[in-house]
Order: sequence, then C-alpha cells, then structure tokens
Amino acid sequence: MKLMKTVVAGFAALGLSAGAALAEWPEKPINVVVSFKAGGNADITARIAAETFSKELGVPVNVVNKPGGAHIPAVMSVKEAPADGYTIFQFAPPSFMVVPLTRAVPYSPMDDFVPLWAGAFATNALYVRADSPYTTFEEFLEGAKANKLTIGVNNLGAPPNLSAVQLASEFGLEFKTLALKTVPASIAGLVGGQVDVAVGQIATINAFEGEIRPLIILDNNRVPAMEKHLPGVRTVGEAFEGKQAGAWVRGGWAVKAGTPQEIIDKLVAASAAVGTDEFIAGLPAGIDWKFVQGPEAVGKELQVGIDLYSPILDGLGLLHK
Amino acid sequence: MIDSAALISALGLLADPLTMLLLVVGIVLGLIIGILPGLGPPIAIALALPFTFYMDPVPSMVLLLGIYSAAIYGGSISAIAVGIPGTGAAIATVQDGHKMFKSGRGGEALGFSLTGSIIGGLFSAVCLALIAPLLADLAAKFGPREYLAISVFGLVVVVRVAGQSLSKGLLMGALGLFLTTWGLDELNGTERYTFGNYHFYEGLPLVPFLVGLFAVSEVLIGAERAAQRVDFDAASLKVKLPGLKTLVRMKDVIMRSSIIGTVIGIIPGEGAAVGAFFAYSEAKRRSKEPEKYGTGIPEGIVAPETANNATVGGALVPTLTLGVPGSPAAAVLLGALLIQGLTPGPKLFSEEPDLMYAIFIGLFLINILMLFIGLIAIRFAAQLIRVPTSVIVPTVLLLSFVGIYSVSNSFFNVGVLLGAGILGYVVRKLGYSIAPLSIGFVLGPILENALRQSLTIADGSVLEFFNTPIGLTIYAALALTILWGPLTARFKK
Repeated sequence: MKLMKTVVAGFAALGLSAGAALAEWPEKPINVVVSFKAGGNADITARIAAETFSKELGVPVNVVNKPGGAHIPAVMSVKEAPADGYTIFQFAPPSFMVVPLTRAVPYSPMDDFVPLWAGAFATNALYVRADSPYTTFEEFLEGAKANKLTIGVNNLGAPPNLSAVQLASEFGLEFKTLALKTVPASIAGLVGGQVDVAVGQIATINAFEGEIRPLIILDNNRVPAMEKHLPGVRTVGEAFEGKQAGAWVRGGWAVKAGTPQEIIDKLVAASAAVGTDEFIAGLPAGIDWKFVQGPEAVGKELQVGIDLYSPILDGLGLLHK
Repeated sequence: MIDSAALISALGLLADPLTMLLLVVGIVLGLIIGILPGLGPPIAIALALPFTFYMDPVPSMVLLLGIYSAAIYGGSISAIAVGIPGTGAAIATVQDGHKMFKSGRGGEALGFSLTGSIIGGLFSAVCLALIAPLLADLAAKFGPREYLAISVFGLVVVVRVAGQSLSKGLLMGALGLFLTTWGLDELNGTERYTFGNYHFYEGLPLVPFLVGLFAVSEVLIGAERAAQRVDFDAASLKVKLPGLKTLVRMKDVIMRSSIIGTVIGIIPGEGAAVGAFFAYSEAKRRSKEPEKYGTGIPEGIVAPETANNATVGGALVPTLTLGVPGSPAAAVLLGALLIQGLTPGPKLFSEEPDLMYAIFIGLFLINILMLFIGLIAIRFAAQLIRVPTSVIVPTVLLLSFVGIYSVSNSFFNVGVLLGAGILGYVVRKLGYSIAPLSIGFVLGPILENALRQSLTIADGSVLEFFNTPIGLTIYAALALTILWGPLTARFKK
C-alpha cells in the first residue's frame, strides 16, 4: 500500500509544474522530505506532524525519506523543487546546522529556505555506568583531571560531541574521544565498558534505566523536559555559575525561499496544530517538544545555534570558512 | 535462561496470518529462485530485500529466511534433474544426484536431498537458538579491539577459502575494503573519493551495492547465455522419501554434515557452497568405499545437502550477535536488519528478545514447512527449469530497479546498483569471485572503525592495543586455522 502511495506520489511530483494556482493552494498532495531513514525519531515526528497538517490543509501530506549523502541530497531535492509550497523540508541539526557549518554545501539554510516552525527539542547529558566510581559530577571532574578518560559520543561534529568539547574546554579536561555512530550505540559502549563516560540526550536514560547514571545536564537553562527525564539532576549553569554549556538540537519544517507569502502564511497558520497540548501528548515518550511558530522566531533559533556552534567547531578546526 | 514473556510474544508475532503467509511465500519464492539455474541465495534475498522496507521486522525476517533456506534446497532439484546446479551450494550435489537420476532413481535422489536439507536446517536452527544467546552475552563485552580481531579473522578466512586462488581472493577482499573507504572520513571529515559530488559523502550505500553485485551481475552473465534447451524426463520427478531405516543407516554422514555445515556457517564469510563441498569430501574421506562417491549414491547427495542447509542457522549466529555476516547471503540479510533500523549486535538480544525468538522459531518452522512445500514444488520444477533467460533477465532487472528506487527515492542509488552490477560482471568475467568482494565491503566499515577506535584507546601503546583476552583468543584461533594444514602435514611425516 505504502509502496503504491510512494509510486503515485512520485508520478504526481513528476507531473507538477511551478505555476500552480495560488488561490486554491493546496490543491494536491504535499511532500515533506526527511533526510533520515524511515523508523527513527525524525521520521516518526515527521509522520505524526504530516498527519496533523493533512487534517488542517485538507490534502494528503506524504513523508519522503531521502537518507544518505550527509543530508545534502535531501536538502537539495527541496531546493531544486519549485517554490510552490508542495515540497517541504524537515530540518534537523545535521542538515541545517552542523553540515553547513563544517563544509562547503550548495545551499544556505538561512538564505535558501524560510523556516515555518520548530518543534522537536533535545539537550545533552553526561552519563556514567551505574556501577561507576563517580557518583557526582564533582567526583567525575577530579577523576577526569587525574586520568585521561575515554568519552563516547555518536559522531564527531554532532551535538553530543560538541557538548563534550565545550565541557572539556570549560573545565580544562582532556578526553580520548570514541565516535560510536549513534547515541544508543555510545551508551551501549558505556554499559559494555568501552568508554568511561558518554554523552547522550536527556531522554536517553529511558532506554537504559538502571544501567547508567546521569551526572549533569550539559546545558545552562532549565526546561521542563529536563525534570521529566532526569529529575533532580543539575545543569552545568546551575552547578557552576559562569560556566557555559548548551546544545542546539531542534527540528521543524521549512520551505524554499521564494515561496509565495500567502502559502507561507497558510502553512504557518496550520502549524498551530502541532503546538497544542493535545498534539504534544500524542508524541512518543522519547521526543521532547518546544514549539516555536513563524519564520522570524525560528530564524532567531537558527541564529542561536550558529552562534553557539561556530566557535566550538572553529576550536576543533572543523569550521568551514 | 529462556525469557518466557518474549517467547510468548514471539509466538504471537509469528502467529499473525500475514507473517505465516510471508513465511510460505518466502519458501515458494526461494524454491523458484533456487531451481532457476544461476540465481542463488544471496540474489534471492537481495531481490526481496528492498520490499521488506515496508514490513515489520518479524515478517520481513521470516520472509527472507524462508527465501534463504528454500533457495539453498531448491538448487538441488535442478542439480539432480538436469545436472545444472541451481545455486553454487548445489554444485557438490550434481555428481551423485544427477547420476542417480539418469539411472532411473530420480525420485529417490530428490527424496534424499529434501530430507537431508530439512535435517540440516533443523539441526542448525537448534544450534542457533542455543549458541547465539551465549555468544551475545560474550559479545556485549566486545569493544573496538575485539571487533578488530573478529573482522580480521573473517577477512582472512574468506579470502583463503573463496575462489580458486589465494591471491585472487585477497585482491577481491581488498577491493571490497577499498570501496568502503569512499565517502567522508567519520573521524575528521576528510573527503575520500567523493569526486566533488555530495552524493558520495556517506559512501556507497550497502543495499544497492549488494543487490547490484549479486543480482544485476548475475543477470548480465545470464543474458549472454543463449537460450539452451533443457531436455529431461519430467515423469521421473516423483519424490520418494527415504525410510527411517535408510536414515538410521546414514546417521553418521547426516550428523557429521550437520555439524560441518553449522560450523562453516558460523565462521564469518563462509557460505553454503563451501559447507556442501567440505561435507561431501569429509563423507567421502571417511567412507569405507570412497570410490563409490560420484557414481550416484545417496550419501553423495545427503552429505552436501544436509550441510548446505545447516549453514543457514550457523551463518545467523555471528550476523545477529556481532553484526558480522556468516555468509554472503547473511551479508545481505544484515542489510535487511539495518533497513529496519535495527543494529545487529549483542544489544539486539536484550532490546528485541521477541524478534530473536521469532527468528529461531521461524527458522525451525520454515524447515518443517519446506518438507511439504518442497514435495509440491518438485512437480512444477520441470516448467521452472525451462523458463527462458529472456524472461528471467528483464524480470530480475526490473525488480532490482523498482526495489532500490522505492526505498531511497534516489537515482544515485539506482546508479550504484548498476555500477555494482557492472563491477560484479567484469570481476566474474575475469575469473574472480564476488563473495570475498561482498564480505570485504560489509566488513570494511567495521574494520576501519574498530582499528581507529582501538588506536585511540591504545593511545600509542602497542601493549594496550593487544590488551584484550577475547581478541587474543580470536587471533590465536586465526593463527591455528592458517597453520593447521601445514602443521598436521609435517607431523604426519
């Protein structure tokens, strides 16, 4: 069935031309391009949001997965599609933040796209094994200063790694960094004893209850999601005034720049439905939500991410200049 | 030790009507592809793989395992009936099987191959259920240094056995490894062989590459062959299953072949063909009348057919517990798990116990059902063997294209499919085997990551690099497999 749908949607996409009549927008199915493969959190959020948008707009909203190629092919498929509001991109930290900051990409998130709304939110925490000698962050600091500990992250340049780098520079620590590809894999490596500490997201604890212990949240400002997953665990900003910590893990939708204002307005208005308490309650337990609506507000959030990560990436020699 | 909740939930998952239907469909498809000369288990799985993208994990694994098992068995039908092995795994069966057929004992021969296949399959399914959880416990302690050891082991073994010459195997293994270096360096972001094209940033995608390498290259080779008329007496395709007495008489051969097949399966990289050859030569070597092998005796069918199906359960052991494929077909199966968003490895057992039990029980069920479906299928084998190449080639090509494009929505991946197909074709025309190439391609990323992470851990110390009891055991086992032949030869003198 799904295959049929994809095939039909594919033919529909081939057949369409740029000059769709504005007044009746939307009059045919809308595609949302996701740069992750089907089944992961990004895909699940896209599908739930697509369903909600479909109800609001009265046309089918289909999720199209285009994984691979450092997320660039997915972004380019939207940039190369007509700016008619029928192709939407679901942005995430790699596609709109880390990849454009670290290498020459044929697109600019800020110039080539208009962000509509942001929802998915995450921040990082530092974990040790449940039987680790470090029971508090302070004990960990002492241990990390005495010995060069091995830290597990998912990918170099990804938010957990950047949180680790920031932690190291703020507290004068040195780590051996192991990139274990995914957050669950780096936590599994922690449980299996390959690394001494690992950076995961605050929601990661749910899948490893009893096996790992959170030491600190690698962020400054407290948000409700922290209390939900890691009650009583301090943030870096709370524990050490003046020390900087933060992460930019956001997800949302954007359309190609040049999309008619009427369509952008309609999409932004429809997005209110993915910011309601009812919608948030329907999300899976591992996904946190911080809803921001409209191009200006989301654009500001993107700028926050760029300001946060540019200097850290520069320090690592990874920033693309 | 048995997690009864997971067991019950696994039975529930398997009892789903759609899952049971897919199990039967898998066996039928596997038999068809197995019977068709040239199309073997890796191709059969590769063709179905993209379509499993739209299924849940249990039905998709059941479908693919049905195809895997039945394709190995199906190859023996054409081997016996026309003397053309349907798959590489059935090459060893041709000698005695086809001779028996020609002397008018075709029904018996088909009965022996079916019975042997089922016994071997059941034996290995039980071994899988017993060994895999134990190995998974051990594998939870596997870090980069241990993975490095196991992937070195797998690579060395596969290049040693695959193909006719060591240097050819080495070259193909190395080519597979080299191709995995394409894409962004995961540790420092350096672009390697990206040709200035961002599509290459994440390297050559696994599934299109494997489907191209196995399926497309095979149809390209098949396309060259002129439609050859196959003549045989379809009336003799009546199965006569061997009696219990006969099986008891052959119990030694059956037992030994089951064990050989399972062990060969477990060794990373080894597939059904090697298992079958090994079991055949062992049976012959240990026989009181070795000269009778090749003249059309039941043992000459039972030994390879039992062993080749026994490799299935064996091959799944390292595939599921370590993410290191036990055979080329299992390498494709690994792709199926990845498509489902599952990471094969020790965590799979604690995270998806019901899937694991469903795989164990599913494999068992497949072998039992294969007995009945096999009996029916043999009647239609005559028509299948006569299907002209002009039908097979376009069908397989179309299936590969549709499958790959529908998963990724990417023409780049279709390009990789074609490129890998042409590569596989050229390589095979030059007389090299694609098995070590595929294993090298699957092991490459594991090897590179493990090596570089081990170097990080060791931090410049050679001692620390080898400070791994499990890893040292694996290296010792590797040294033993290499030196065993020369050493025993010396002692015999």
